[in-house]
Amino acid sequence: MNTSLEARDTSVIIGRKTLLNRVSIQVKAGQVMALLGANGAGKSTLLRVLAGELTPNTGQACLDKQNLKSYSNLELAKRRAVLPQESYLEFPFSVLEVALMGRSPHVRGIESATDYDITRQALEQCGVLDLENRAYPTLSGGERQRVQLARVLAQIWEDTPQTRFLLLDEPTSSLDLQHQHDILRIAREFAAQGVGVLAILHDLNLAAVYADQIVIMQDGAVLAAGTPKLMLEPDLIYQAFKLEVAVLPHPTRDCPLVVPLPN
Amino acid sequence: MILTRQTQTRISRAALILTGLLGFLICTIIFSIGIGAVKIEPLQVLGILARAIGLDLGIAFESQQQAVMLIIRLPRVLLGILVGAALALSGAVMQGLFRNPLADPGLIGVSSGAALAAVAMIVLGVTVFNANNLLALPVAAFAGGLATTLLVYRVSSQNGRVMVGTMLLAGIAIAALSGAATGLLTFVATDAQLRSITFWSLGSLGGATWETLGVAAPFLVLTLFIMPRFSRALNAFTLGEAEAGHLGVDIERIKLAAIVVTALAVGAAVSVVGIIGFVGLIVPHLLRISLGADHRFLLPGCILLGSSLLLCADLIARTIVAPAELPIGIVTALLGAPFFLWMLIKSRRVGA
Repeated sequence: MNTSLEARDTSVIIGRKTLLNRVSIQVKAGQVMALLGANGAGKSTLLRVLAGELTPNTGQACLDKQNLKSYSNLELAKRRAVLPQESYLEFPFSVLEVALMGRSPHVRGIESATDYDITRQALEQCGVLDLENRAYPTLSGGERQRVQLARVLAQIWEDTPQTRFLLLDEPTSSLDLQHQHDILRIAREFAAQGVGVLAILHDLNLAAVYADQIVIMQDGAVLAAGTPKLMLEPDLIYQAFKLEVAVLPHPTRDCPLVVPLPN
Repeated sequence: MILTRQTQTRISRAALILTGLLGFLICTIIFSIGIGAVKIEPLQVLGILARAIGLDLGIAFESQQQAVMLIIRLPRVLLGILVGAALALSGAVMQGLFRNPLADPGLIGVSSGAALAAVAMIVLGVTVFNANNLLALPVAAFAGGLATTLLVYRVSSQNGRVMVGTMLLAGIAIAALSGAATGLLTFVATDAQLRSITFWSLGSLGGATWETLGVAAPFLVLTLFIMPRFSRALNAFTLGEAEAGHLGVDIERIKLAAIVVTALAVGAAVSVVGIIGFVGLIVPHLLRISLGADHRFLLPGCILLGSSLLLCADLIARTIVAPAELPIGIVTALLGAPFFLWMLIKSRRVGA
């Protein structure tokens, strides 16, 4: 399949600051791409460009080779979902209601039984179905993040003729160890259904285990891109994060294991 | 369509509450029409209404009752319904749009601008317009409200994008500025002018006639029909503006439409009844406790509860010191402010 979500030579300049400098990446159907880099490297800006939320000053973001600008918000919403870094919600929506909002691009009027079905499956998959009647503002940070993920999954749950895309901005930031792996396993399952996944990650070892492709960013530009084995390499990591590491073979999986060596 | 058990429970629960609110509104209407210096029994209210459309129900009433009801009370009640509904709806829409449960329909500068224009008309306008023209004041207030909203909007938008956070601050700044100008005008006003300024800035339904109703009603009715259409978009907005965009909402269009419609609704309301606080702030809160936060149920609820509460407040305002009338803004603030404090304390206890 020749479908992809891509940034072509995109730059974002706000005021006098260049947030993104001629970046090109391509998120492919059925693949998990991890976006790595130090704070302020431009990862979130790139994700916002790919989401269609931010129009680049130069270059263009394309879905299936067509500029994102040529799609309506609703057309995009049916094909790609975005997990925000953090979500504040001041109003007393229940967990089920929040997750159900993911179905809203597909619903006119009142949600059908199918929409409830899908939403509850998504909540189940994220391990928060037992919270469905709780008021969202009373949840812990990690629970909120999983409910938001369920909402985002519900949005692109059903298989469509065209490729779906899932953009995750630090999906594991407030999660415990087990749930970090759960979420990336879910991302892999979606990729296995043909969904193109882009995730901003900070844990190099999560990227090593779950990503097909890794893009390392620095100062608003792509420093390097390739498979985990090629990217997770001491010199490159030192260049991107200014941290000495040793890279060993993973004891049980065919992927690298990065061990930081703080001085 | 097959509905799951949850959907049905949710909808039937909301329907039950909304039906209850409708019943409450009908009772309030009948009592508002019936209570006053001239008493009209509920059945007589029906009888007079039927007679007005040409039916005879065989219910006895005096011609004085008929005159009081049709000329004085009915336009006042209708205006109260429309203004209460519009204020409560605007409050809910602003709270959703600004993602802030403490937002108020006056936030976008519309009330303070209308107040400034009205006070300017009272103090300076006599020489500019024909003082006998009762419509000059509402028209000026309406124009003033829209003009300040436009100013707030221009300050807070860039390349066609509205920055909601900036808008909040710009609204506060411009409200302070027009408050100062209003204060200056109050300072130079004569004693007679001061009295009408006071009444106007505390709100009153006392000026309601079929004529004033005719001026405001088209705008108010229009907004009552448009605002509930925003409910799904507002639900998405509560997640965040970017998130609403990701869910397919045309965010810039919705923001613009919501601001325009709110300015029209509040501008029209303020122009005929003056400033009535707390209704727009509190009604949505009260409803979220029972109906939940879903705007599809919340907005219809605001229409029903906003109008009934305003009618109750007006009933108190015009009967408690009869034959004089208290400005209605005093009643809504006297009841609304303690309630609001109670809500703040309660939410602090929950830790939300």
